[in-house]
Amino acid sequence: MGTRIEAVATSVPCGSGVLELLIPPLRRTRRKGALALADEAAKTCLERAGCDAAEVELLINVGVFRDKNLGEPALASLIQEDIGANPGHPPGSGHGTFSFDLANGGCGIINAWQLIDRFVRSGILQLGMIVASDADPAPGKTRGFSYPAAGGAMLLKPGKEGEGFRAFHFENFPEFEYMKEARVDWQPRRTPLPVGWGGQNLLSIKEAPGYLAACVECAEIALKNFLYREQLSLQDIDLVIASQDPPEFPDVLEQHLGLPGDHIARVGESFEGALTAALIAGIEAALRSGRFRKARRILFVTVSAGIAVGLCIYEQAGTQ
Amino acid sequence: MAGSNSNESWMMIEGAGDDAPYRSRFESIGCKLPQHILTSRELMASTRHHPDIQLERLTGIHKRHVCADGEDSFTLAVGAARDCLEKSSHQPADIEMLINCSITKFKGGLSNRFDPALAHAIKNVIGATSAVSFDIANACAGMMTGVFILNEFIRRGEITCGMAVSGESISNLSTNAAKQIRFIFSKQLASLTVGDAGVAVIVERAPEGKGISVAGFTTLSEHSRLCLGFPSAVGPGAAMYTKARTIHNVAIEDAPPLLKEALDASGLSFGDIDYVIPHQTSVRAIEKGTREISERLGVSPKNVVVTVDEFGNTASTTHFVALYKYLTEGHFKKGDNIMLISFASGLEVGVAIFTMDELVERYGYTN
Repeated sequence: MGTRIEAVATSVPCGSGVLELLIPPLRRTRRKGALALADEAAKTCLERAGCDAAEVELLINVGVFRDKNLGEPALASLIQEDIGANPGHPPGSGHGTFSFDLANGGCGIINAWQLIDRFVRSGILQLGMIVASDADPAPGKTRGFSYPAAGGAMLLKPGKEGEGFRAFHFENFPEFEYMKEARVDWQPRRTPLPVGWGGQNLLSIKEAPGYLAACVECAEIALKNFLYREQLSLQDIDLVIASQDPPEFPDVLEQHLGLPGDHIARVGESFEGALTAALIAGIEAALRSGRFRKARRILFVTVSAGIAVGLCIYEQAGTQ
Repeated sequence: MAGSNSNESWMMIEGAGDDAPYRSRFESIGCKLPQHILTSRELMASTRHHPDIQLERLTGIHKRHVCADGEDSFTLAVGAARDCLEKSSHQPADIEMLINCSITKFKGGLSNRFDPALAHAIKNVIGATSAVSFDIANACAGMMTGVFILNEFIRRGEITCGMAVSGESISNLSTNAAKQIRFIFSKQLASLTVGDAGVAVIVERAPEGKGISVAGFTTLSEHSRLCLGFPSAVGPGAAMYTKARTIHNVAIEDAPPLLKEALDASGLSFGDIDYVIPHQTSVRAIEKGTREISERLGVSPKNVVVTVDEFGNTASTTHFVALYKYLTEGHFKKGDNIMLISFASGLEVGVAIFTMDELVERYGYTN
């Protein structure tokens, strides 16, 4: 038994019209945080699948940057409550929902797929949900935050034999750990206020020059190892869906691998540079264009700070 | 939902007489505590507004270990992982999956690293370079969640050895709360109960009939907003706002049927449990909670482990700090039934039931 993708959905902050461009404060009023983006994507995903939230048994949030840089509880539990997935414990029979956060940057979604695939194959999970969203926790105050606010959600359930996730592969390249980091630090105020506190905790993201090239190099090495292990070649792959961070990563990867122009799924403008929702956006775009359903074997390539690489192959039966 | 017990349990349960080919067990547990100790009296003396709070009498917490310069989530996690490996028969290269489970991810002082995952740095320092690594965050249920994940991968034969690790540098919650608390009803009161600790556990494939019999989890998310933690507005580190009494009450109200599910799945009653290790919040909360749950289940466990008086609430590490202390002090014997119960912000309710085995020998005790 495999694990197949039942439905996907994405969300972006509404209102990117002319008025917001001309009057910047309007952007703030229409801004959506990571939780709102996750909630919206999760609800849309359930609607598309025709599922009730109560059917979700496991909910994993893989988003990294969230409202107020919340550390506790898991954002997944807030999403679970907001979408109404068994929030209480009614007497009698039925099942509940278990939720937690998983973090591995842009690769976290592949870790989450592997976990859900394991539980589905074990027979202890019938419907799992993954939610991914990132948004600037404090617009105007964070430093180096370049990710677009974006959310995504997907539902996974048991598939037929030979259908679904086939193999996972992860590699780390600690020699490049210094190249990108996101930290929350206490920043003392330059001029102490007469009333109030002497500083604030702020998120800052630093990226060293050459990060894109290092990501592509690491992805190529890991991909070579993965394909060798799986006894596959790039000719066996019908569609590639890749990380959108760094923003040029899909294009440069395509050139380096020598892939035909239509082999890499493109995402909409709103998701260019997105962190954790990127793969879901890629799947949604490929579904819309019909390319996902036509592909028999799909390769997912993720890179993230660390540098971490996560790879996965998804297979579909009966495609042409 | 749960394999053979489909649609019979509210919790997501592993090991309820299902068809998993293997069992997993705790092979080694490591711990790293900061050397510096802060008493409750010293902590209250440091409060800015000197509130009339008898912290020691209210919570039963006498002291806690707190990080000094050069110590943080990362150093505690690495220290615990190394201690765990020293007591283990495994080499770092044997670890196939490493999960960092801490709420705090301070590395390089009170600098909270959101990305990349702290797990990568930990595995590289200890030499577990081939392990799949990632972070999970599930409030104080983090380590139990890590064990839940490893348990399933081992039971199904996907891996044979994994490590869950957590370094919690959370005493900054107390430091920040001490600047603001004025009254006993402050939502930051629980922040005065915390302490710092690092733990690591190696979970491996067990010989037949041994190890973890049942692990289960659920999230009662209607209570998800009762405890919120985020970066502080008044100083380095974090702040936490908790409706502690409400959490305690809903946990006691909702826990009994969930614990019974796990006990039924393992074929045991609460009275068969030799040692219950609950999440360590305060001595009074543990005593009151155990009494009320025992009344609801109609039977009491033989022993309830309390270590919060000595270490404070060390967040995701509490169960394994308690296990480590009891192992090193020789309280356990082979064959003891042990039940770990997690109540954490979310509201997460988690259970793991296992039988003590040769693990005691790694700590110098035979029986």
